Amino acid sequence: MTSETLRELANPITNRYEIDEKNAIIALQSILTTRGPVPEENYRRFQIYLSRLPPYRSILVYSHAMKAIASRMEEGDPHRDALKTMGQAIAEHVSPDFAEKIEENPEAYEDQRMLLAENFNQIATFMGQFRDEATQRECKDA
Amino acid sequence: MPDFVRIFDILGTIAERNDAITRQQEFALQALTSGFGQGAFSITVPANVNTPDPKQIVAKAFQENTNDLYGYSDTELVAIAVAKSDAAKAETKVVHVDFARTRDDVVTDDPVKSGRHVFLPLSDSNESNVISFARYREQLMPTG
Repeated sequence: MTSETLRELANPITNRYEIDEKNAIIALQSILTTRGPVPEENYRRFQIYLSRLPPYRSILVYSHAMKAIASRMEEGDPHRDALKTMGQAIAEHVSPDFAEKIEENPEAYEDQRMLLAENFNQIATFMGQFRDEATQRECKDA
Repeated sequence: MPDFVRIFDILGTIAERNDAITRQQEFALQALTSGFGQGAFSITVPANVNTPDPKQIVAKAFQENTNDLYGYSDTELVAIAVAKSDAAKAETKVVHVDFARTRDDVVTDDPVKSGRHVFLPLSDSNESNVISFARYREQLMPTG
């Protein structure tokens, strides 16, 4: 029996989270690469899969999402560089095995918990700001 | 062309919810290695109580089912308890509570007939559970 099989048997919930992570990224890619109007269903799927993840798992999806969104923005978009920088900063500070470490060690989670919360707080603030600015820009253009 | 306003809104809303969950889930650490968010639990609702105190229900659920509750913030559990109050009105003595993170998981069967009551505390059909949880947090757990 391989270690991978043992892991699968030991924690089916982890497997579900990994599937949700992949589905969230696929859903976002689908939004970003659609030509023409993006179907509402695509946004809904992205939101559902992202919301199903525990915060400590979703942080890496945020990193991926920010970089992917930045890469699809036009050169002059005022949010492009900020998103790229945030995505890279998360990737630099959160190791790819962060979720596994957290799940295997409750103390590790407790050590990181408030830092993680603070990061989400900042992300929420920035995203709210970006949303408002982008809305204003759209109104001006229209 | 993707709607970046929409994407920022999704990312921001879930980040806000994740911030709240992460700050509030100290209770869950004890069960980190065992249940991990799976399974349902049952609680007994006094038959003569139509609207039990959500906090009491949550406390009782923790006492009896700690291992099943990992992965859910107390905000979510309070929301669960609020939904439980509605079930209590139906004079359900033992109510099975399952967890739903998305609308797809919701079971709308009669909880008494099905023996299973999966809920989302949604106020209207277009709202996500994320938004509703935030609203319950504001109503029931003021932090200011």
